[in-house]
Amino acid sequence: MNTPKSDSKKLTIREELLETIEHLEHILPGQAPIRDFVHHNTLHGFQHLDFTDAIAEAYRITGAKGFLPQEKYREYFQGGRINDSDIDNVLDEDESLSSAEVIADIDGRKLTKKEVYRCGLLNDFDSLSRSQLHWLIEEKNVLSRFQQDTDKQQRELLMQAANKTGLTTEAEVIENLWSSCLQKLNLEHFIIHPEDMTDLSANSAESMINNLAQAEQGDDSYQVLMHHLVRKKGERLLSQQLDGIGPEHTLGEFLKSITGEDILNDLRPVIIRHVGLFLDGGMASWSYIDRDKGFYNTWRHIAKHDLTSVFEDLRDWHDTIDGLSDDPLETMIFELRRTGVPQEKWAQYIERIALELPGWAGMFLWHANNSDQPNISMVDYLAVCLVLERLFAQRLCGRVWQLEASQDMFRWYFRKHRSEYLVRYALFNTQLPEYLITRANKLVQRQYSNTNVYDDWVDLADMTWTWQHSPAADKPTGYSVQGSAWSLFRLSQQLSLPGAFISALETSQQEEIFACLELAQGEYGNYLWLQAYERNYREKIFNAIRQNEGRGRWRTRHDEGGARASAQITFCMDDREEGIRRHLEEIDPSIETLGAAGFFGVAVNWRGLDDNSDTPLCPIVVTPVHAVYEYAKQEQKTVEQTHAQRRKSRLWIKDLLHLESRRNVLSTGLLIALSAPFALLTLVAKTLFPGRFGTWVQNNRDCIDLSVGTTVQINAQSDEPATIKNPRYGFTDEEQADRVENFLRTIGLVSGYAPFVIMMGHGSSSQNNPHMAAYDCGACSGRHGGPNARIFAAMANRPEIRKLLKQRGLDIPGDTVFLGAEHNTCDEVIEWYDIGQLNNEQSQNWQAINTKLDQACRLSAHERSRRFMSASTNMNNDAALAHVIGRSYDFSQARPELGHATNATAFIGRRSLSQGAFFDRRAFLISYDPSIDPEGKIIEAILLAAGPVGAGINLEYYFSTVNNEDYGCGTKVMHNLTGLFGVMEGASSDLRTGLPVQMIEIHEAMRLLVIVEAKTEILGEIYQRQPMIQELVGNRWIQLGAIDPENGDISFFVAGKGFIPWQGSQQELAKVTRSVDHYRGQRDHLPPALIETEQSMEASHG
Amino acid sequence: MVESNTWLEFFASLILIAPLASAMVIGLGILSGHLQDESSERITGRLSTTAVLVSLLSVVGLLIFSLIKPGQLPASLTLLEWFSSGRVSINIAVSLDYLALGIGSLFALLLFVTQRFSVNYLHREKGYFRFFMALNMFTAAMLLIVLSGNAITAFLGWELAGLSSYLLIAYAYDRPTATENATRVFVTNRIGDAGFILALILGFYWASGSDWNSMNSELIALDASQRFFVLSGFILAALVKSALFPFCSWITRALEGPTPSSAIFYGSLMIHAGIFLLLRISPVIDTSTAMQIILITLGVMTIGYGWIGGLVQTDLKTALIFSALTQTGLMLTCIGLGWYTLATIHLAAHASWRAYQMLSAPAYLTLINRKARPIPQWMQKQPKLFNAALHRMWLDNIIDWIAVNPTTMFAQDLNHFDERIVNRMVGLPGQIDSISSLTDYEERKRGLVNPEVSLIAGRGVMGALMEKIANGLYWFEESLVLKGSGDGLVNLLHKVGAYLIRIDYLFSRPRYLWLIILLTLLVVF
Repeated sequence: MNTPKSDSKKLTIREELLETIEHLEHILPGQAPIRDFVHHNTLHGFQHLDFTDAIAEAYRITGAKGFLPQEKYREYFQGGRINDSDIDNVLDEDESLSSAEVIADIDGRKLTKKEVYRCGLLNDFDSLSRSQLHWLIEEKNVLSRFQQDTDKQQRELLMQAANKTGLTTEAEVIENLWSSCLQKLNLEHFIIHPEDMTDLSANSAESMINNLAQAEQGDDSYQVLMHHLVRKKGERLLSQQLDGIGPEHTLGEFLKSITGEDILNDLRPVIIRHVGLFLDGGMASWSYIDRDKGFYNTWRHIAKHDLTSVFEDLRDWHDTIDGLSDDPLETMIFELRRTGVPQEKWAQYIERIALELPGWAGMFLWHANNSDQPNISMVDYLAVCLVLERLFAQRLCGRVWQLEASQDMFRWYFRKHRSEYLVRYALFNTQLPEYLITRANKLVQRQYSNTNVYDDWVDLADMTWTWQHSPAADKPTGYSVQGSAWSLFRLSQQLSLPGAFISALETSQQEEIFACLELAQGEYGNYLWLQAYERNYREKIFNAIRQNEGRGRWRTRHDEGGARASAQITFCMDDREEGIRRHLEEIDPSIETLGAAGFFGVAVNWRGLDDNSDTPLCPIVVTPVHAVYEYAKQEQKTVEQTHAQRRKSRLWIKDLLHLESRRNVLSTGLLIALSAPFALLTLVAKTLFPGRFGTWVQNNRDCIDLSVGTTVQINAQSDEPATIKNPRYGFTDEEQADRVENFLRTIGLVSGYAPFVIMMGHGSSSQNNPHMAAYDCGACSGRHGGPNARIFAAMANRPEIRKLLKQRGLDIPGDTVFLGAEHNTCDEVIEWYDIGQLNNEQSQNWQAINTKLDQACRLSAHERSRRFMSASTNMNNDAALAHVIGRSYDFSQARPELGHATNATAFIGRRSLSQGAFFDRRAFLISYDPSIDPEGKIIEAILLAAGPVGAGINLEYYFSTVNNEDYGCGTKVMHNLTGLFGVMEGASSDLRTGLPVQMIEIHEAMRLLVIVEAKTEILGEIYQRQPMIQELVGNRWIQLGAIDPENGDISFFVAGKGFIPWQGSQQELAKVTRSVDHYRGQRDHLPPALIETEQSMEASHG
Repeated sequence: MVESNTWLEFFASLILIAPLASAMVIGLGILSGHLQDESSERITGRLSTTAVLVSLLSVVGLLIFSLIKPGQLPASLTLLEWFSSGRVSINIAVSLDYLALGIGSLFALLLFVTQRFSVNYLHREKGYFRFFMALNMFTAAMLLIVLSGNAITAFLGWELAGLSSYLLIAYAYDRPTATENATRVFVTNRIGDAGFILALILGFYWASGSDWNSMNSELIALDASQRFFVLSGFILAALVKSALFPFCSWITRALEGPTPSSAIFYGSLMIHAGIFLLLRISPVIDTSTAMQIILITLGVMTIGYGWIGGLVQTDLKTALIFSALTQTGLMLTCIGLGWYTLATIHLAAHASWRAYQMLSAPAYLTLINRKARPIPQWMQKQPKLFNAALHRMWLDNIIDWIAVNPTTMFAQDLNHFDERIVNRMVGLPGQIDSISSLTDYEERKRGLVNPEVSLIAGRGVMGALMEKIANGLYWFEESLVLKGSGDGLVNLLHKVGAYLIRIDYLFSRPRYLWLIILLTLLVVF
């Protein structure tokens, strides 16, 4: 029996472990199965931290960098995408930099910190290798000539300054500068003959020994002295590496660092096969045996019969498996103890284990937290990984040293074999010359026993040590010739500091220069660059808004001469809809467009006529409590039956082809033989004429399937309260009126209703695209938003609802009709719903609007085509439309459309803010009327709903762009669909999460600039009230700007300071009469422009 | 007749020359740095697609001609005499029979479609040009295998296909898994090549016929054991190339490249190369019942492997490959049973369907509407079978044991031999003046002997012998000539003891046992 004391102690260990496991959610990718791909902040687990801290923390834990490399930013600088004033501004405004401070004032030359920062940002000061430096000296004469990247002006300044000290020629000046730098840093530089770099000559050995003897006085035997030093170094390195097990690496990684063998290579396929099949969403016919019993227990059962142990030579496999506890947590504790990781490092060790295959671990965790399948628990996964990791580590250790794989054993063994440790470590982790590598490799590969073996290790350790301390090796720390001296030398030329200046520097000043340089070259420098990059864009946007002030239509609906809009079309806030809205307004200024989250305030579980299950259509954070189904109309019942039957048979054949053709033997052979001729024809047609063949197939399919007239059942049969557990079919009148009212107020459409109020949902269709959901509507959880638009229109058209709305102050005229539609952002086709309800006159008017929309779609296709390299820039609208249609049907197309790529800003306010200007499809447009929201209730709700959606999309693009290798999922070309929930690269890699290269290649990685048309006081109050806004804005995950609704003043939010009025310079913008004039022939990002249609000219003059 | 033959030769050469030339041009473009950014994608894509189109049109033209005017075409056409000596002559020749032209047309069409597919699919890829170069190379290789008039040129195609496959598996050469797998596949494929070469050599030795038909008839005329040996070589080659049992495991490692290359190499075309080779020598197979039984057995084993393994695969590309294995297994069984026409038809159908299926693999999520049909309950609960399926019958490990490990270790041994013995014998210069460590320096200053020079550690009987000689010379030089004193004798004895231990150790390793057995066998026959 356990005493209560030990019991409680044990409980805390377990609790701690469980807590650690819960915490894994913050560091593992949280991506859902790919069918339900929804954009989210890649670092959502770190969102409670400041943006830069979060990136640093993620880097510390996962080793993934979160900024573009500086070379990239320097390229942007060269290309003019970032300019001098951006950098100056960022350096001036960041108080932590104290840029204005003068580091040194010598001979009238004041060197400020800002100069050093700037120079550090703009130039590369990476240290060279010794041989590179020698090459530069010998071949490029760098010690007697200016650096090539030094400006003429700087050269002259430096020459002038040096003239004062009597140096006249370029060679003198530069040589003097170099020797000053060396002298200042107490360094000696002599050129080593290349041959000496491969081994040590007697001369240099002599001088080394003298140096050593000076450093360690009292012992005149070099041999004893050196052995002492070697042993000391081995001791230090060993304990440092062993202590790193947990915080920095796993046992396997430790072994890799001294054997060069990665046990993960053998381990990975084993784990992936088990976990893949356990989580499988329907790819394999043979499901995991006894899946319901949980992964750990089932695995234990299966592993007993696994012959891998025999083939892989895992000797204690069976003993281990048989001895495993029933409780996975117990097993984890046992394994952790056995590997000898100290208990205080368990949490970190478990993180390391989970991060060995972050994609798979994340997918397991997602299933554990979100799936309705029973018995999926993260403890299971970790326990199995720990057991396997130890077994494979055991095998490696057994083979190499006949040792147990545990930290204590390593400590014990390598204390006695420090030389071996040093040699192994140096071989696999540092750069050695070839003669050492060959010898070290021989020792590492030697498997037979030999009496003198250990002496060889000792000799080699001595050789390695000697080499590492010889002048030939590059030393990473401290001042060095090719590191610090070289940097200082380069910096002095860039800032025209003569040798005399350098010589006169005090030590503290010199250290300060290096500190500034290091900061600019480090991660913080990247952040400074990012800010400059963002500022450049922000200035253009603010300027465009200022220039557009008073020009945009639809500031109010009343004072436009009482003219009623011919239609009001609400699009999704999606940045991809900016183009079509702009074009539509250019075609017909009497059409007003609005924007809102594309589920139109109607969160439902939707089931279309052909669906087998419900699909939630709403943002991912909402769980719908209502369900709406689509039914065939009464008179269409017989058609529906035929339709259902035919569709069913068609799908049956399709499934037969795609599923059975890879499952059986003989029947598969027969199936293949029968379908092969058709497959061949399809293949040829699809590759040669994708568009025409695709449309032809689509038309035929529609013909065969028959189209059925349907209605949506939106009315509830009872008024029982709807809950998550107990969802209800349909909405009550009250609920319908609530939704319609709320939505109309949110977008500010409370009066001046047009004859047509159209809700335009959107979706995207493409072929051969596992990431399809990422192109669909984010506000509908990666689905099409058409049904929401249809449901909304159906509600708003009901007379009962109109009556209720009237009572609530929304007087919608009797001749106003609501319509639902869906815009396909890939092939630019608009699908209308329930058009049959229109009377003749309405029908004609609708036709007119539809024609204009059709034109707008063509123009939108045209504008989009400028981004596609395969589309010519001078094609006409029809050709452009054909091109995008072809793309959507082309199964060889890895970029059916470009998704949200280039998204950069979000406007929340009246359309008048942005209308009449060209924003290059880079802006989320959200309608909001501050004039009807004096207390800020509406804007608060909008910010809470649209903020995370916009930030989620933008940040996913940001991280996938800056570091596609770690945060994105690489190129689609290699992707391999796995378990119906994710993609691997090849056949046994980690699951790849994030966005593929094809989606981000033209994206500009910036944080979303949200501009709200509201009083700063109101925004300030909301900021105080809402922790979520504080998190996003205060922690700098998004940038926030405000525009005063009355006087149009622009201000920008700075964390810790609040809103600062914008005082940027105003620049004239290009003026064009149509968007196309601005973008014609252009492939790249375009600055904003003003569009002067005839009507808008009149408006601005009147 | 002469006139038309010139035309024939022209078209027939075009089939191979067009893609080869295009591969060469792209390769030169890459080397010279002309092809490197997006702007040169279009021209590369066009060049490459046109080259394949030319091949396609030529081979289809020949097929149509042979269909319209049956009997007008010679069965085989010599394009070039490459080598002739005594009774042996090697020609570059193409077969123009229905088998070659039919399968050739189909393959050329599939290759063309894949080229078109890849032009869009690989847009903006870093390896765009490399990819098209390899794809062109593969086009020539595959058509060479199919259309070749004799075994020698088929072997050229065989090797070229292996090379281009290696290049494309390692397409993402920055990923260690990809490069490692590419190398593994390459090494495994060497076994098959060895079989092919063995068959070629024995074939030349025993029968002199150069084109398929005469070679077949001469082989049939050989006595049974000779025929068995030649056949074994060809069959080994076929088994490896088509990933048939027991060489199934390499093919799943080959799925690291871009989707279109995986599609045609392992789903659709190259996987059938082995089957095609067997069809080519089918008259010889017909005469050996033992071989037929072996083929049927291996065919059934392949089917079992593919089917059971395929049931547990959760990633689509692997799942499709396993399914492809069941079908090639079926073809092999058909060949064993002597149903060559059926095997040929099946080959053609399977190549077409699998190309379609593999190319639309990324769309799989939208193509299916339900889960895979589960297996029967009784089978579901068999943990042993389940393990076997999950770990792919451990074939990978077994092949490691049989082939890969001995090969790599043998290579290591040769390397040792090279650097320790040969280099020394040739006399590479040592660094007389330099020292390796401070200890070394100190000892030298004190006038002590250089510590043991670790250059001396060879393996194998010959290795040891050479070493002894080398060592003796070294010792002679070191102790007698340079120092003039003889205190190295004890050391020498020490070393001799160590060598004996090593030799003993070497013979306890299986690879040398293998080698000896193999040598014995070769000598016996």
